[in-house]
Amino acid sequence: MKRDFDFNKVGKRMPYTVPDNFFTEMEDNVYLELNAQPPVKTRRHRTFMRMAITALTTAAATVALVLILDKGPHAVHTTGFAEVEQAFGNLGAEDQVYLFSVYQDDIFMNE
Amino acid sequence: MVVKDKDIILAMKEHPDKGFRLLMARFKEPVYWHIRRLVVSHADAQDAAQETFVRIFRSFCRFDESGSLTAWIYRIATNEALRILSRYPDEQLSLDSEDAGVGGMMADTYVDYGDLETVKLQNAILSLPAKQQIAFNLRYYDELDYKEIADITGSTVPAAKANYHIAKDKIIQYMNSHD
Repeated sequence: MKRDFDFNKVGKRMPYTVPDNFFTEMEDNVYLELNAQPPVKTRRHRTFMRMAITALTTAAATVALVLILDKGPHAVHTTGFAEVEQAFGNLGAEDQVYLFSVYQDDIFMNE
Repeated sequence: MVVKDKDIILAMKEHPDKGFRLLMARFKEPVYWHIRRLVVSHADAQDAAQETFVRIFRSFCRFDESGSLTAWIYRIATNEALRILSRYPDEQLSLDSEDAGVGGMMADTYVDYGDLETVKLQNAILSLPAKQQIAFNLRYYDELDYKEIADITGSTVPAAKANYHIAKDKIIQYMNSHD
């Protein structure tokens, strides 16, 4: 009579193998991946970054405006249109877009 | 000496780096072999095992301490193994499916095909539906209890028991009929 398969014949043996030092290498790879990826940003961190960027942008725009429009007591001559054009041209593309968007509809400047 | 789950949990909370080293030391081999038995290919098992540990570290804050750490880790590992298998259209293995598995070992460099009895046993296991495969492997190789197996497979203790015993009977039938 044929007997049933006996699991004890095989036990926990498996045909699968791994390369030498594989488990050490795998552990190292996990640490590398964890160190390579930036930690997940929290909502609090994102909110802080958004506020900081907004504040910095506002400050930069204010400084740019003061530099361009300041005609303080020491100003001795009236700035000509060509000089304004040149100063505007020296600005970065983002600043130009920002200034243009702010002043294009300014009714006092466009009078 | 085997480090206990509660010691790993405590260490993870107080010193995450040290705790994670303890966790890796305890689980890296069992997790790899659990995945390997499901996906067969060494390269796929390596990918899934590494991703499992990265996920464990990153989501440890969401681990519910009322449950078993071992079950939580094996659940993540099982999901990673199934995700890897979903890349292969012909080798879909899903916990929701009652269909039999692919039923055979794909060619791989890191398999000793000369050990016929073990190859046949793995083929028998791979011919089973996913829940039976997983229940059998977790009980037979990892010696987990049925509560942990139920947690890992998202089922109940009676269902985990039934899956294990049905799997065992089918494997015996397979081994007897493939002499």
